[in-house]
Amino acid sequence: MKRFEKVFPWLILVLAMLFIVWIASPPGAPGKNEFDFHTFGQLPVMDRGRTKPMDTVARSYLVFLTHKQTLKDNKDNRQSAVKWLLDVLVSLPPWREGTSFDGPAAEYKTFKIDNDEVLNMLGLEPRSGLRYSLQEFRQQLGPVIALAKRASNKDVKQRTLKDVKLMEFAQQLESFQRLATYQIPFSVPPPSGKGDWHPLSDYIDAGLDVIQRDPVAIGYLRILSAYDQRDARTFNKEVRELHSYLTEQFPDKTADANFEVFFNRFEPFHHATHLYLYALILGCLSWIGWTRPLNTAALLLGFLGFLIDSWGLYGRMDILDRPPVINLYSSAVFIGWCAAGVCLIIELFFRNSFSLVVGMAVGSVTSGIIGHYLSLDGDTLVMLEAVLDTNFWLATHVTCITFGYAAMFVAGFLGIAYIIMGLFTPLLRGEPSAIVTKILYGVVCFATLLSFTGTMLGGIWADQSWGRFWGWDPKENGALLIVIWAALILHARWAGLIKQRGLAMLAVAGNIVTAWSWFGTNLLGIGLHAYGFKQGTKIALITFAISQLVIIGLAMIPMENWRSFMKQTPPPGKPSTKSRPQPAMSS
Amino acid sequence: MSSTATQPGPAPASLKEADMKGALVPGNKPRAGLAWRILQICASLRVTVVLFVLSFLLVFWGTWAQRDESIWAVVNSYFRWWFVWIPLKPLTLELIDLPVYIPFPGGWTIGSLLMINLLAAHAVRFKLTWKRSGIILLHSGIVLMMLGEFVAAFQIEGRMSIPEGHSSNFIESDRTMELALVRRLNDKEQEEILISGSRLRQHDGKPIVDPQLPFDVEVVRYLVNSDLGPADLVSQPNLATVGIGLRQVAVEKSETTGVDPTQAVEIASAYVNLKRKDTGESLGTYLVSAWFSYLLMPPETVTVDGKKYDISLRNKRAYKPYTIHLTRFTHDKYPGTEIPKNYQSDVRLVDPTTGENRLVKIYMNNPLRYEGETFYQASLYPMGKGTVLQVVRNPGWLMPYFSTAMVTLGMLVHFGIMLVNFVNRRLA
Amino acid sequence: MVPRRRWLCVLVPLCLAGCREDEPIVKQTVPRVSVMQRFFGAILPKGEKIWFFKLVGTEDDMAELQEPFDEFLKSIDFTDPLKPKWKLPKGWIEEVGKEMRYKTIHIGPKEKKLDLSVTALGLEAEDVTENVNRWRAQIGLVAFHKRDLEPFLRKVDLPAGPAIVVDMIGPGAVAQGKGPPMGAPPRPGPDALPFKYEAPKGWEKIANITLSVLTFQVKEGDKKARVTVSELGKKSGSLLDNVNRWRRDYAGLPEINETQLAKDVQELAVGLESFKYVDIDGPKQRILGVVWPRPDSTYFFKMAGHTDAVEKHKKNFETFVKSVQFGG
Repeated sequence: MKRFEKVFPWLILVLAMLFIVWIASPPGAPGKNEFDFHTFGQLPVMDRGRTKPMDTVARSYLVFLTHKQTLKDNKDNRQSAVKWLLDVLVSLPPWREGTSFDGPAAEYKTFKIDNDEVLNMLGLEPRSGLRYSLQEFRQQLGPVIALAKRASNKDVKQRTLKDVKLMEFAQQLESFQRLATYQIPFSVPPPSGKGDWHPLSDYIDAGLDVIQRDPVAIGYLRILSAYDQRDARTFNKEVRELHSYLTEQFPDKTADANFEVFFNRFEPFHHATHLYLYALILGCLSWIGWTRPLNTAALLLGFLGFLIDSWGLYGRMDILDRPPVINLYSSAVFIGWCAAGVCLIIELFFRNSFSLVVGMAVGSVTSGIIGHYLSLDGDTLVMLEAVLDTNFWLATHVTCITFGYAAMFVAGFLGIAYIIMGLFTPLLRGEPSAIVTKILYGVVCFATLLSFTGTMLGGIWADQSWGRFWGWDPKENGALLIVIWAALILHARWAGLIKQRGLAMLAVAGNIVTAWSWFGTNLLGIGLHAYGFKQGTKIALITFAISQLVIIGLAMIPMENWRSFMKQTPPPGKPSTKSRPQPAMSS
Repeated sequence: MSSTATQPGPAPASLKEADMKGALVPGNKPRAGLAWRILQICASLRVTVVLFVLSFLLVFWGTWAQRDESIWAVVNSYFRWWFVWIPLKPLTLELIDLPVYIPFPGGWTIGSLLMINLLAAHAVRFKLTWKRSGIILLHSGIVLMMLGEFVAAFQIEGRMSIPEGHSSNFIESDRTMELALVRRLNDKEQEEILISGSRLRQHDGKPIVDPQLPFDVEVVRYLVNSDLGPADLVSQPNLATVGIGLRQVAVEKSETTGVDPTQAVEIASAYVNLKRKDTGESLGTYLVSAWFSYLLMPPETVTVDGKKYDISLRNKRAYKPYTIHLTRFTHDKYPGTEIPKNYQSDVRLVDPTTGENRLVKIYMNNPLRYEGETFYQASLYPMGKGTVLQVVRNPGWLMPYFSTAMVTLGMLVHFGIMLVNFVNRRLA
Repeated sequence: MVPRRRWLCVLVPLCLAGCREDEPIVKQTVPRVSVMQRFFGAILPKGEKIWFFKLVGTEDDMAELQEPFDEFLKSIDFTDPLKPKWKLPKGWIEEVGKEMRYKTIHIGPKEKKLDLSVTALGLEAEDVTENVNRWRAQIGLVAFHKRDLEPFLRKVDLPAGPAIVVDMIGPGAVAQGKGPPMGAPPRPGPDALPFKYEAPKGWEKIANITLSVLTFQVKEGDKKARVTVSELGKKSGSLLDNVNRWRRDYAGLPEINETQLAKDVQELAVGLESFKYVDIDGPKQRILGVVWPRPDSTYFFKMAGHTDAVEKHKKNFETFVKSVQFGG
């Protein structure tokens, strides 16, 4: 039994690793009559300012349309994004007469339409999933597109929710149309290697002799025509020829594209989130019994997840050649990574599963859930506007401030853990109570340092870009609020105004402040009458704030009713002395 | 007075309590006196916390208020003033919208009190030890930073728009206007007679009479923010009697708000009745508008006593002894997108007073600093190929750089000492 | 002592911010470092032609020419609609233009290169917005939307007829500028067709009849058919009403009911959209009709005429409808 206790954590780790290796192994060669989608997905193209594999193009546009990574066809079979893209590409091919889209692409339920009014205008009934095919609504399309255009000409403040949803829908349609007519992606590289990429549509407009002179353009047309005729053999032959041609001509770009396809397929953040969740569960179980083996197992799983998470972040940085945080999505992933990392390191010191559980919770929530929702706009690896195009400030200011968010969330969730555990379990009795408080205090100090420095670096960046250090604009103010709040917690602690419980409560309130700074300030810009794309974000933010207030409210319950501090309660009237068990301990 | 820093980590609260009492109640040390007592109250950490709460609320409401008011209105009424009347709307996060206002201390009040509190605290508990070095460093940084923001409140901002191949020798203010009467003297010079926007704004029916002016100027109407529309489509009486005002009418527009994603600037218009000095006879009521300068409209001309004046309402100009010539402007986008990749202005700076004559490249995050002014790449010249440079004069621009470094270093030292002590105790 | 000094900190900014006097009138002489280009133009439609008068020069030169230019415009005489005459102010020298240009008038000393050009174009050049934007590009200005151009345009009743006079200032043409100018591209005015199309070969565009916005004549030997596009408001009636109207008025057929209609109606897919499409062959005429709903109105694309002609051009008609693209 003792031996099993020692072996158990490593057994879990080996199992998890085997699973990861299985996931990461390359797909088998396609069968004789199967299409080689994998190689097609590896072809490098230029889209939204960046060379990326066809696979990323397929995934990002599919996600943009459906808000899902994969698609089910009409027979409920799962289709990969690449297959969907190929079907779109042959829905209106240049060799066919006519100007209307048809084929499977028009029948896939790819358009997520989540607004009643838009659905109504398109003559559609709400149904589960809210995904519809072009075939279902194309008759009603004209007026809807025209209204969407009208909405986009409106002043931002005048737009109604309907307008915004119409524009969203029109954007989906436009992407679909541009994909199907080969206007995106830019798939033909400059012949000499220098110059601009061009979309296939340019070549088709230029005529047959121009196409025939370019091996890539003609290669794509052969591939698509073979796919249109369901000729797997020709398709595979042409795809491989084109791939090896591109590999020869653009070895770097193809290698990057191959890596990105692997990255896409491996989904590191997805697996890291799962491992964090398992670690979280094991960590919680360790409080019930069999403490040491479960805690070790959780720690090992956590570290494995962290390793994969780190690899994922590194992969993104490598693909884009950028620091980790470039947009809202990557900030979520980065916060998850930081929180997990910090907490795992703290756990190494204390081994009581507290910071482990908190870190895993923050890690899986931000990187898994929030990150997932933020990735629904399409490709998350975006190019940056001129003012943001500076690796120096992205690496310093943005990284620092995002790390600060992560530290604030860790502190906040430690506060939640303190309140929940103290209130409903006896686990905090004695030493743990003081230890959690110490960790919490240390993390708040760390958060203060990061938030302050991050915010001020942002000011310096602004001074470099616009000539003013501080402009009191909503985004800057949001960051400043975190700094003030963190400083307030520390000074209140030093002033003796708060003790353990108060520290936990203020840290939980810090969650609201941080969430506000992270998301809220973006929402403010949307006028009172306009709803913007982020209606869901607004509701999520309010819900989160209320939940935090409820937890703070729970913490108001007198200490003698907390399970962790119940029995040692002195006679009523002096509860405050009880809430400070640590002087005896730390001295 | 034992200090916060002498007890790293979450120090025993009982001890802290004693600290506080020590700070509040005289008698621990026999230096009691009224001044010392007041100083001790000023130095209280409780006061610090209260001030933090106030500043937190101020910043929060000052952000919400930007939904309704322009960012500058908010900065000047909330952050760069002594007290502010906060409307109920931002106060209740827009749940209640009544014309009720709550007084609240403004940025300068809270800032000054924080400053007093901080300095008093150090005066009371001053002790030069290694353990306190971090605290002292970081708090000095904070003092410097607050002073920096105070200085920045008086910084001057403007912009310089230059089409490609052209030069400019003046900076236009972003927010103040002037009515300009311009007379060309020769190829190289022009005479300008200027009436400031604030004079126009506070018009009271009486004409502006001044010996410098070639005629009297009566402001019939002044619109802080305006739009233009064709005269036949706008249902309001047309005040203009001559010129373009007969075809175009200025319409009032509400002031811009701080969170407006388009961040539009205010564009003023005015109707001015020009009167001969000798007879008082009207030369006509003209529509002048910043729109005209903005859209590059040919100016309205008024001829009095054989002198021809171009009359226009424009952003207030500050002429400089030097000239900036835009030789080339480049604007790259990422292929296949509308995302701007880079803006760059290649300019030649010529200053006859110093003999300066050099080529400078101004692009994002790479400004030109010259004669106390800083030129930043701000945007594209809206009317054609060219650049708009943001120009800032802030003598305290270096202060945030130093203060950020000081505070960060101070925190690193302070928290570092705490961490080392903690680890040592843990290992012991 | 310390707190007392703190008060200074509070008092100083009060004084700085508190007091502000009436700002005085300023008179100053400043150097001019930049001279812009100024543009005078006039557009004068006359019969089948549209006449363009254009004069560009530096701001200073042009300030002197404002009145002479106006006088010149007033003197234009269109007794011969193809060969207008005018009275030249003193020092203006006229020269016969090359190619499209009718006349060039040199003003002042040669080295100033102040030339007033007179050009005549066909009716295809009637869009004022397009022309003014073309001119704007010539003096280095971005294109404007019709609405924003208003302040620059002056409608003047010249003795020769109503004209539009343009007065603009710009930085001047940018030599190495490639591609279209930045900013919003010119959008079609309200008079222009709201859609783009490609007319098939052999279709002849003719004057619009009654409600139609676009009309073509189609011939196949001596058999004729006519293609019309018309726009009707919200009250254009149901599909059944329209089909019955066509059956009655054009085809000479009896009316039908809903169930009958459902059988007869086909779909014509155009781009992402799809429209109701009917083909009615009757004793009088054969009719093809496509109903294209828009937010505020409905467009009817119709081909009516001799059965043979319609049969021959049915493919063309479908191609034509499919080529239609509505703008914003």
